[in-house]
Amino acid sequence: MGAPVRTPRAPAVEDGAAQARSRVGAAVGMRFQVVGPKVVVDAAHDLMADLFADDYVSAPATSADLLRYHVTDSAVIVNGRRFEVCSAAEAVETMQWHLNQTVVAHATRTMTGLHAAAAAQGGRLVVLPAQSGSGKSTTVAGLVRAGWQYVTDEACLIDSETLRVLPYPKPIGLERGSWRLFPGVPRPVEPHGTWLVPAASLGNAGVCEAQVPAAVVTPRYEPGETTRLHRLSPGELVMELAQSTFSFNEDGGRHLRVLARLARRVPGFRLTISDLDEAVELLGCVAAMEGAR
Amino acid sequence: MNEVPSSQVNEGLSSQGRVVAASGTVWETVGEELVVWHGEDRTLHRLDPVGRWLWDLLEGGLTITQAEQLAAGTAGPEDGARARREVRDFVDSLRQRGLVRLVPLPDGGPALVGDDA
Repeated sequence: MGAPVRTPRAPAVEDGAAQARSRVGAAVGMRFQVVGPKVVVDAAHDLMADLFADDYVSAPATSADLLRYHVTDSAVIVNGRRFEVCSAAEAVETMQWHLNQTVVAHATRTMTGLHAAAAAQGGRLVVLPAQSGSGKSTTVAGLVRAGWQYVTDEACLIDSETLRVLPYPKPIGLERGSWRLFPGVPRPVEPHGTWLVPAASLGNAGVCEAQVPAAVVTPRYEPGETTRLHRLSPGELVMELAQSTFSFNEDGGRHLRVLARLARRVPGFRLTISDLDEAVELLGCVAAMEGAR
Repeated sequence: MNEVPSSQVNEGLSSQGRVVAASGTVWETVGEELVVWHGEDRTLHRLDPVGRWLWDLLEGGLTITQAEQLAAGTAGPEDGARARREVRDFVDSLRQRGLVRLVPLPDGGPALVGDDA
């Protein structure tokens, strides 16, 4: 476990100082730029390599979409709004959190966004919608470690016409209780609160391209219970999906149409998780089963 | 659904009262079920296959009485009274949730499907 990395006191980036750095990335049609001390920007780049890679721009970005994060050793400033931080790790976590909010708000103007993780095996995409604390990030980390292709651990953004899920392959955010499940995964920066794990450090299967889900599985971490699957009726699936849909209440009719189309097309399950490896095996069965249909 | 005295359901209605989806509701059928979004109070409701069948009948223009008759007819002679009561309970449950409003038809007005007068 490495020592915490503190942001060095560096001249402001506008001064053109040698320690300053700027990176541009993209996420679901949005471009964003991180400027600030080299150590922070490099840490952000390493963590958000897929987003920085500019490969996952699913819609043309406009200049108005450029989001500029100015990082100092004590704050993240975005569009004039200042978030106090005390370390590089916290700066990156804060940027990631803000980027999540912004990407979701931007995308759900036209798409339906689920608070969900997702990964694919054999070209079959499994979506895992759930509230925070249900184990979706831990589950998708387990899937990626088992060789699945990564999609997201935060937001499944569904194209309203095609029902394809656009990848948002941000670093996987693991809470402290899950860290012991991933021994040996490098942790170059001591997490401030959430351990942001690049998917590439868990597996090499890469990021899944946009596609229609093969199944939806709602995970629920229940220690001490038997890890098991329960089939949901299409109506139950819509109810579950609605609970995980960003801003459902603000535009329920539009989102309901998308969720209903999805529920007519793909099977739904509830997954009770007590053991991660068993859950990963069951999800492999779901993917295989849907491939056999 | 809660048991509701049938008199509450038909209060103010003629025997040919109809059910109309409340404004701001949006619904989708999924499999044999139906999911209804109430946009004004921002609630989502799921109807089971029987509820979906009744919703389709009522939203399609049958009067409450006609829906009761149809349900009783399919339930058989021994369960007819129970089926009628369940239709009324169902309608009342929808009404209490604000998903439908009840529209009395003018006395002697035409029944939309069949005529149980």
